[in-house]
Amino acid sequence: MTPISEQQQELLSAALDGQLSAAEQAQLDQQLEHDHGLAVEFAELRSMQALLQELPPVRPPRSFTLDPAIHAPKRSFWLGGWIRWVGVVGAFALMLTVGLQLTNQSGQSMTMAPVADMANPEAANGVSDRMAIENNNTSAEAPPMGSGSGSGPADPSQPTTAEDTMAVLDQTPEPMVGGAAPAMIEGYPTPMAYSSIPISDTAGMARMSAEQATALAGSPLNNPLIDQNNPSSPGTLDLEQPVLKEQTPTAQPVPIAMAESEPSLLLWFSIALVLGVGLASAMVYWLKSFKQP
Amino acid sequence: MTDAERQWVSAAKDGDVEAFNQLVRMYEGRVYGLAYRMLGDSDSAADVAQDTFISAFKAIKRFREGSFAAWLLRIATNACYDVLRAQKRRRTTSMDQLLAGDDDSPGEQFEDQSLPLDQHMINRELQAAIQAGLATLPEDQRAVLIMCDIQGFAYEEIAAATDTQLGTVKSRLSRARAKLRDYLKSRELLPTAER
Repeated sequence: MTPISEQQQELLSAALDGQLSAAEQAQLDQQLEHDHGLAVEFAELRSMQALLQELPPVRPPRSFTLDPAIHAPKRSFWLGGWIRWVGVVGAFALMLTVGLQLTNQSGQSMTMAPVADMANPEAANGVSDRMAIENNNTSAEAPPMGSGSGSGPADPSQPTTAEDTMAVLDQTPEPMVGGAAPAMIEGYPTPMAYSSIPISDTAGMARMSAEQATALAGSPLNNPLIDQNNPSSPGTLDLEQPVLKEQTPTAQPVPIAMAESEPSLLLWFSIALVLGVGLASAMVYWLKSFKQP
Repeated sequence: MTDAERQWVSAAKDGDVEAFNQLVRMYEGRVYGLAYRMLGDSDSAADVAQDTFISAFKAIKRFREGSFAAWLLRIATNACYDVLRAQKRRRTTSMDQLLAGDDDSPGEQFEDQSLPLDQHMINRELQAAIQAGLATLPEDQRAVLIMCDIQGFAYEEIAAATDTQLGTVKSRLSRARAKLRDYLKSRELLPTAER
C-alpha cells in the first residue's frame, strides 16, 4: 500500500465535508475504486469524524450572562464632564450674581437709609416722610448744603437733640447733616453723600463697637433721638402724626449704618455661598446616581 | 444571523446588556465547549468563556457584518491561545492532570447521564481518549478540528474565526484529522476498516 500524499489527504478531508466540486468528487471516486489503501484511509477518517460528531455537548458549569449593574456602559466622559462643569460654573455664577446684587442693594441702602431705617424697618417709611417734610420746612431756614462747616442746626436756638447723638458718638457730625437732605429730597442717593464723611467721623465710628451701634440703632430705648417720656417720639411714632420739628432729622450717623450693614452683607453672601455649594453638590450627586441606575 | 440575532446585536451595540445576554445564552454552550476542548480543564474553560463574553460586549461596536458566532469564537480562540501560552510558561499542563485521572475529567462535563452504566463508562473512556488525542494536536489544528467536526461550523466561518484563509483551514483540518486518526488507531479506539 503506497503512502498517501498530503494532497490526497486534503482531498479526502474535503470529501468528508462535501467540499469537493462534482468533477473533483468524480475523480476521487475513481481513485477510491482503484486504490484500496486510499479507500481504507477514507473509511477510517469517516469513522473518526463520526466519533467526534457523536460527542455529547459539553455542559457549561454556570451561566455566563453579564450583570447589567456591572457591565452597563458608562456615560461619556466628555458629556458627563461638560454637564458637571456647567453645574459648577452655574453655581458660581449664581453666587456671584446674588452677591453683586446684595452688594448693590446694600450700597444704596447705606447711602440712602438713615440709621433708623436700617435698624427699625417698620419706622423706615415714617422717618423718610418725616425727613421730606422737615426738609421742606427747613430748606428756607437752614443754610444751603455744603456751606462751610456748619452743622445741621445752624441756629443754636433750635433744640439740638442731635447733640445727644453726638455725645453718644463722641463726635460732632459734620456737613453730612445738612448734606443728605437734598439728596433725599431728590429721592435718589448720591455718592457724594457717602464720600463726604469726614475722617473724624470715621474715627468716631471706629471707636464705637458694632454692638453699641446695633443696640443704639435697634432699640428705641437707647436712641437719644427718642424721648422716652414723649408718646409722640419717633420710636412710638404714629406715622400720621407730624414730625417733631425740634429733632434734627438729618443727623443720621452713617457710620452706624455701615457698621451694621457689613455683617448683614457677609451673612447674605454666606447664604448665597452655601446655596451655591449645595446646588453644585446636588448636581454631582444626581450625575452619580444617573450613572448607576 | 437570524433577525432576532441581528436585533440583539444592534441593541447590544447601544449598550443593552439584556439583549447581549440573549446572545450569551445562545452561544455560551459553544464558547464553553470550544474552550473546554481546547484546554481540557473546566475551570479554565469557564474563565475563558466569561472573559470572552465580557470582551465581546466591550468590543461589540466593532462588529460589522458576517457571522456573530464566528466573531465570538475568534475571541474565544484567542483567549484559549493566551491561556495555553500562560500554561506553557508555568510548565503546568492540565492535560496531564486529565490523563492522570483527575476528578475534572471530560466525562463529568457531558450532558447525557441517562445511559446505562457500562455504556456510560465506555463513552467516558472514549471521550477521555478523544480529549487526550486533541491535546496532542498543535493549537491551530486543534481549534480547526473542534470547530469543524465537533461544533459543525462551515469552512468559511472557521476561516473567519481563526482569521485565516480558506485553504489554510482545509490544510490544517486535513492534518489534524490524520494525526487524531493515528492516535485513536494506535489505542484501538477506531473501528478497523476492511483492507
